[in-house]
Amino acid sequence: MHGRIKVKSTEEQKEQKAKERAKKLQFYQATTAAISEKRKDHQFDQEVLELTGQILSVNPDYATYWNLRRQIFLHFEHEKEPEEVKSIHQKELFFLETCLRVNPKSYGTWHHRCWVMDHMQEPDWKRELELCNKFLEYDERNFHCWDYRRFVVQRSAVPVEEELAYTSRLISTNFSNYSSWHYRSTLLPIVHPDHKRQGRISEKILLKEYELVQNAFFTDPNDQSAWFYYRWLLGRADSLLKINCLYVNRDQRRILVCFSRPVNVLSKSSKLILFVDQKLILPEWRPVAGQKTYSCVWLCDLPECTLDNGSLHQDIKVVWDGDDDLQKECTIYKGKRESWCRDSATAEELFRCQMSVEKSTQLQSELESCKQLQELEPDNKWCLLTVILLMRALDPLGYENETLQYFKALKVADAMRTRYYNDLCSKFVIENCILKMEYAEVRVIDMSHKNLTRLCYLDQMVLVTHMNLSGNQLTCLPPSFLTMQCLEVLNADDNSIENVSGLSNLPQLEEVTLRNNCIQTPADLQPLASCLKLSFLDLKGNPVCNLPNIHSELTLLLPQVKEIILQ
Amino acid sequence: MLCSNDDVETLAAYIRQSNQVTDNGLGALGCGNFRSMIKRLTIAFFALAGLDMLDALDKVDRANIIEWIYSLQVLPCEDKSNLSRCGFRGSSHVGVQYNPFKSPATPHLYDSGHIAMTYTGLASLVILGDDLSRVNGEGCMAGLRALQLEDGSFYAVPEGSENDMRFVYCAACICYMLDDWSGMDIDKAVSYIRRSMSYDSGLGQGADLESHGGSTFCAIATLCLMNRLEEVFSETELNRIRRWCIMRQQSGFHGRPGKPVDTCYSFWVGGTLKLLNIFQYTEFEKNRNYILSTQDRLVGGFAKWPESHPDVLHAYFGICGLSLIGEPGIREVHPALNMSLRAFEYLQSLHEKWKHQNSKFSDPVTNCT
Repeated sequence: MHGRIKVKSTEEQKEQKAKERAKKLQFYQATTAAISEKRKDHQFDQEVLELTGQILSVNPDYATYWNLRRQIFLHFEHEKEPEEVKSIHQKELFFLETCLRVNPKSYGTWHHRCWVMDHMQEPDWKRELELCNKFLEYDERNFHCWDYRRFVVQRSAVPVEEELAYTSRLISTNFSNYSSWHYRSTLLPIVHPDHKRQGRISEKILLKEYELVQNAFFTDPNDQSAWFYYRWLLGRADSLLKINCLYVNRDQRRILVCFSRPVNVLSKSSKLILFVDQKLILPEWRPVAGQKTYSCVWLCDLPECTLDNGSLHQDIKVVWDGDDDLQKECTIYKGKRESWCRDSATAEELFRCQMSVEKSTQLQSELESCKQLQELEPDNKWCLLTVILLMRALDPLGYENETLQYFKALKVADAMRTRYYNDLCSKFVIENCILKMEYAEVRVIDMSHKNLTRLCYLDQMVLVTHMNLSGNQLTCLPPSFLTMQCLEVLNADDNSIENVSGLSNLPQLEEVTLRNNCIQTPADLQPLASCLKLSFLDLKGNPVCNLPNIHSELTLLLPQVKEIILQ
Repeated sequence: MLCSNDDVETLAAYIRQSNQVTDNGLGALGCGNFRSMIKRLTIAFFALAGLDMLDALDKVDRANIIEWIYSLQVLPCEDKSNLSRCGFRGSSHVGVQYNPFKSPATPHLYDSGHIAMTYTGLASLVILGDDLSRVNGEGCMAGLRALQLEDGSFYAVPEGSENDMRFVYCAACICYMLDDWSGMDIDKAVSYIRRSMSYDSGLGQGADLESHGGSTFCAIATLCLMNRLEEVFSETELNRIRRWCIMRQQSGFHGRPGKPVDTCYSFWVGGTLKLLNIFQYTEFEKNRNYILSTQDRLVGGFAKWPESHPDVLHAYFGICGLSLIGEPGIREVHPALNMSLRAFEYLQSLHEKWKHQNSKFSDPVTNCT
């Protein structure tokens, strides 16, 4: 079906083709009929092998016939002498090889070969490995063949080191060897494991691999396999599940728990348990975005008087009783409205989990090498991307300006993915805003005029009270905005916002400015109706302001708001 | 290009002529095309789904085709001894007499469902607006359970075959359409998916296998149908998968680094990007131009490459690829379930009806909860 190039045919040729097809059809019908007959009579013999062989050599996807052949072989294994069976198996391997030469990508054929090999008394695995080498020389990307190779290696207990050496040979002959890099990535952690970190490679070997892969991308900077491999070498496993933040608000009688990744607190297998002054409470947890099953941020309302007793302080503790044992505690003092305990993003290297914590000297030298290459190959997108990632890993704030310059170059080198890079850049910029906020130890975040195309990490901003998003390219304040449970003042002027679905049920929100955006109708502002403390709303410069009777409509929609500015 | 009614007509005509879905033995599908016969049902699916995307199903004899599809159902026999072999077969090539209510008392020794045929059979019925009331849910679920391996992946047929991500996706679609997940061990399937992530964060057909656009789609779409995407992969991992996918665009899309672009990946990879919410970052114009360059100006339809023979699979995925970029004249596609949004919404209405009906008892025919 796939990829047949068109060739012009004369009328005569067409007629000839039709005749051939009709003949083939007749033959096919006769053969399948004959097979059905013999099957019905349970005749498992050479003839059926012949007949099915004729069909399969043209159409190897006919799974039923491969199954039939297997049945016949099983029958032979019972009925015939071992010598004869051996020769039958050999013949089958030969038959399979001819099938593979015609169609090297038939699932059925490779699968059947596995079966035959598994049923032979004395399988010649070396020969199979040679077969793989041959087929891989012909088409290095044939994943059926790689899969078969893995089967052979496993069955014959070929030492992994030998296979690793095989990939080294392939790579040194031709660096642009995607499948070899891939195979190498599966073998290396087995041959040279890092005993401290599962799935990773020992440090000594890692350094040698850096050299190998650098040779590769210096030789052919456009081969992406080496770059992906390099990225993989530099990376590390995802960090474990953590509770990032526990927040308690006395006025609202509310507890907020923020996890490092989405969890389902309501599943049968895990519980989020709350202790107030060592007393167990099982509240009704709900995700911050009502509909979702999985959420980073969960909240609950406390029964009355839980936080009212006159004691000097109260201890709040949450325990996550899931696959990981996690807990977090904080203390709320008499007279204080709120309290929290939060892991700082810097301490937890929240944003550096992309890259390993290998000695920064090593990363620095990697950065130097890549920068060198970048000078030689200024248009190479892989190099630019890698430099950016290394800078992020080493010193996100220190390299901030340089990173933005590299993004500019990246958008020129790979213009097709401009919007993706804008998105990526927004993410890094927001990471830096969070880091700056933490260094200043304030709950105010300034993300204004940063060319942001989207918002992210909002679940890391649970404690933020003041947010400035003005002068960006945002088109909406999405549902993920619902995590801004402590937000009091929002400036989102000068964007292209049409949708504010995330500005709902924010209990502390008092002031919102949305000047010069794209709010069209009062209905667009419906979410704000549930922000009960909202008292100030500035909508100047939005299309909605031009609608007739807009002020009275909005007053009806948002009765809690004392001041709505439209002009 | 694909902007006039004529073009839509040509495309629809191509699909129709390539699939005269009748059951007179081996007659259909261009005579002598016996290679496709075994999987005739999948070809019918591509044709029907394609016509649906073009809003051209009215020209098709629905009742006839629905009958034909049901004739391919492998039903439980009287004593249900063949329950684990039930489902749908690809065509009538095995030669079982058609009985819409049950299999013969002694089930045919070599008659069993094929997971891809069960999937495309059900999908075709949904697209044609059938209410699935003649589907034997019990059989389908038992047949599906019999196909799942310890590692979470699936065989295609009970006698055994290769096992990989394609069949995991088929299984998920079957469960989703019948609104019954008892047909599979979800946790095992999820673990199989996780283990198939490669060092470059693409997903292969299985563990240790090279990342591939097709298997990446199958994995992500499966997780979306199970509503488990964000549970199984962290945001970091999803970002890495996004990065791998978005790098597949060259003009159109290819399925693996270093391979040529191919029309069908405009859907496999495009659909994945849509499910991961970053399809809007792709370059629409280049993608569109590539797909249209593979169009056959004479016969209609799309091929994998320009100047190649079109086929119904690439015609369908070309249409879906264009649908993702919002091409006028084409319905919106539901990327996870691989059918038009209209067909998907029809399925939702069926599910509502079943929930309502079965609130007190389990329907013996559909066996849906």
